[in-house]
Formats: sequence, C-alpha cells, structure tokens
Amino acid sequence: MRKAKEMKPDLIFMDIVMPGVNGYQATRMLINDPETSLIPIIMVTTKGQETTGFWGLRQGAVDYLVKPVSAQALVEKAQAALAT
Amino acid sequence: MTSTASGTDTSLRSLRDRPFELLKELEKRSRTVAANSVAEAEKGQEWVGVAFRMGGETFLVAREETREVLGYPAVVTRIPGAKSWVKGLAQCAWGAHADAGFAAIPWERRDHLGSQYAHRGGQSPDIPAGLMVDEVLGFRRFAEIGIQCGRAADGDPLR
Repeated sequence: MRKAKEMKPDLIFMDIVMPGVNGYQATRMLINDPETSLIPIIMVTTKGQETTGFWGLRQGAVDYLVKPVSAQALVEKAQAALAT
Repeated sequence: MTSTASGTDTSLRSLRDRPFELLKELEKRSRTVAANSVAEAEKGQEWVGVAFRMGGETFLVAREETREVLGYPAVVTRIPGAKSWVKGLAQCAWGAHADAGFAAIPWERRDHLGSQYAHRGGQSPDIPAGLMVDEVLGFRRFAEIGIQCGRAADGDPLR
C-alpha cells in the first residue's frame, strides 16, 4: 500500500498469497483509497485456482492471469489494462 | 504485489502500443522486484518456497533453487538410450534441458496426471533438468522464525 501510494504505478500485478494481507484484501484497500483507486490491478492466480480470478474481479481488479503466464497473455492483458 | 516502478522513468502507458517494448519493460521490472525480494529473504526476514503437488503429496522447494516454472513444452525430443523416466529434451528461455520425471512416480501414472510442469535448475550447471509435477501452487512465504520441519497436525505441510 505504501509503495503504491509513493510510486503511483501505471499497473499492478497482484499475487493472491502474500505475507501480511492477501491479494484480495490489498486490492480492496487500493480500490477504496482515492490515491490509488484508479490504478488498474490484474490478479495473478495459479492453475487450479481460476475461481480466485473471479473473486479478484469482485474486489475491483480489472482482469486476472493464470500462472504460468505466457508472454502473449501478459502483454495483451497489460495493454488492455493500461487502456482503462 | 508487483508494482511497476523500478527506478526508471519509463511509463508503461507510453509503451502500451509497442508490445515488445512493453514486454521487455515488464520483464526488467519483474527481475528488479525479484532481486529485491531475494535480497530481503537473504537478510533472514522470510523464507520463500515454491509449493507444488506431485503424486498426491505436497512439496516445497526453495525459490532460489527454482529457475523457472512453465507449462509442459509443446515439443519434447526423446533421447535415445535415456532412462524411461527421462521424457526428453525441450527448449526453454535459457536453453535446451532434459525433462526429467520423478523416479518415484511410475511414468504410466504421470501421463494422466496434471499438465503443469515445474522446471528446476541448478542441480548441475552443465545438465539443467526439469521436474514434471501435477500442479504448481505458487509461492509460500514463511517468517524465518516460524519455519519448522515436519507436518502440521492436520497433515498439511504448508500450514
């Protein structure tokens, strides 16, 4: 959260499993914060957890990727997210 | 969370219509974040492993021992005279390598298991080998002080 506020990145790839807060919580916090609410977030899930992408979208993420991520999918989703 | 800032002024938005440059910039930033994460782990703050399932068991391997995780290669070239559990040679980002199966799991059984594939490097710089697994579960992080050997009471080694 602190880094997102400091850096104001163009795009965030959000992992689900992280130390401290998980990816859903972090996404909700970023979306609800006026300073970071416009940063597009792409959830990154592992295979077999595709439903977590759906839940990520419910938290406000613009899209999700399933690992292992292909270069083509990465670029396409990043391009689409950066257009928002 | 992977933020896109990496100490450079390049805006990802400015690269939106140049996919190759965008991909290169994403890779560069990802490597920077990964290098910083390894540096933090080396300070003893946390231990990070890649979790995977294989033959009904759950395993963890240290992140620094994992070169790459990728889907099962589309093309695998058989090696004449190789052991039956060696699937063959495949091309990946850092060169050709042998796709080694796990000797404890019969090849006949692995054929109908999941298709994910964990690529472990570092066993030998000359003969990099990949390990085929059922499913990659992603990173698991542990505070250095909280690492304990063995299984939890419920049998899940990841808890």
